[in-house]
Amino acid sequence: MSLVDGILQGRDLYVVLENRIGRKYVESYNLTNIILFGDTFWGKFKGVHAPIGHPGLSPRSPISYAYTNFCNLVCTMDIANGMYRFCTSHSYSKKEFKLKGQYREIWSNIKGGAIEDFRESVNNALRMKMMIKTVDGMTFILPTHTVEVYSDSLSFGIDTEFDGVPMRLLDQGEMKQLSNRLDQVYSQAPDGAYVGTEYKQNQPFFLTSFLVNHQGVVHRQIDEDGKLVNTPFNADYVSLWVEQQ
Amino acid sequence: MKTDSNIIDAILNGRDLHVVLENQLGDPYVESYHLTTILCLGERFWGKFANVHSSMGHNELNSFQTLSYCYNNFANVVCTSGLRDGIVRYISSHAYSGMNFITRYQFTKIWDSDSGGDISVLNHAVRTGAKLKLKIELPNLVIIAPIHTMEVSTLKKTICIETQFDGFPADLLNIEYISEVSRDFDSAIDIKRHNGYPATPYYHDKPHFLTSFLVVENILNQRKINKNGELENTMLPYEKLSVYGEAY
Repeated sequence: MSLVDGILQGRDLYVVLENRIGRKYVESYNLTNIILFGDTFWGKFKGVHAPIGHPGLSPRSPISYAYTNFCNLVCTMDIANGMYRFCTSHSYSKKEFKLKGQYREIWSNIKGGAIEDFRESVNNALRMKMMIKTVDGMTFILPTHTVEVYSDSLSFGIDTEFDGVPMRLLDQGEMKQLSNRLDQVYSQAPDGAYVGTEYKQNQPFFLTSFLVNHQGVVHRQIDEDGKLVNTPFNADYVSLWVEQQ
Repeated sequence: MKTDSNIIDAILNGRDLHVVLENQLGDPYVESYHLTTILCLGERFWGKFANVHSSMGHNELNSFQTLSYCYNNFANVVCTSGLRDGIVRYISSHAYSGMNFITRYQFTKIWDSDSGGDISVLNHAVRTGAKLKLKIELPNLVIIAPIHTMEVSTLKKTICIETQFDGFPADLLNIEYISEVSRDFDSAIDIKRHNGYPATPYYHDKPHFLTSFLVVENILNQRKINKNGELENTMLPYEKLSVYGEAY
């Protein structure tokens, strides 16, 4: 089974990294938010990384990193300030994506599902995730934050975790070009240099914040007045996955 | 509020804490949250979920201010917090008709500051993407925080641990103050029962106690924001540190 097949079967994605510069160590991150484009993807961890060692950033706004399997970029971001920066993944001597855990689909907008499955999953506090396939072929795989199961045994409301990615991240062509440019810089840089772009602030982000209920899918967006608004979202396929114990 | 008598022991032995809630007002529903960061003050605790709650419907707040909710087992108060803007708001836990704390998953202790740990076990935990948490035992407080990064050097047989960047409103450590808020809410509940539940306004720029820690060679550093508004590492004396890992 390929990595992407495993992701589409609900398995958790994580990345194991070995550093190239300095004392050798291994580290890993659970990439809870995934954006799939066919066989390629970005996977990011939550905004939980301390903004220490990043001069000029807000000391109260944690940052997040996203890793990809289609070019040599790593993206550092902070949604609260619209901040992002791209670095070369050559800073790691090894970057390996892996899968763990097993999930099962308990509901979809096509096949439906038993609401009692939802209720039992909530009562047992099981981990859940949403898969939202867009009409233009992207698939968002996102951890659920709130799953409300109503006692009428018909209604539910699912809110994914509030998060987002720089809009630029969704343009694969541009990302490949940037990766090529950083590859060139890296090839000419002295040993031990970290190669990356400047920090950019107040940039547009695509929110990966969705509300799904028995009636449809809503996407959170920021309107012209800077307010969060619910916008109907045209999804091809939407499904809810729950961990298997 | 329902708390299992053994729940503190379970939490201190590495089990995950969750809260299952049933609402008081409107169409009844059930929901649950994983309370990843925990403060234990003797038999009392606060547990909060990560900063992943949208500010939708909280119209006074910045749209990018992600929120978190903190639940406890000793007072009828739920706290909404927002780290970025120092947001704090208290609501009566009577907003819920049911608040049940449960624990899940048995984590295994794989390292502590007294005895160290098996470097191959620590290396395996990282390479299998295991969820990890750090227990920090201070004189009057135990903090359990999810680990964001654990760097393992098998050559040097050392680890470096960084917890997830998070924080609690500093007032949550003041049990007497929270109990007073709870009593005020309880005394107002009859008046408000049919129209809502008691709550404070949103307070801004309130001090937060950061649960962002760095452990290097058995030295514990807490992140604090200095007077220049910069994050800095401050050494924090402790009684014991323990790392718990999920089995995979």
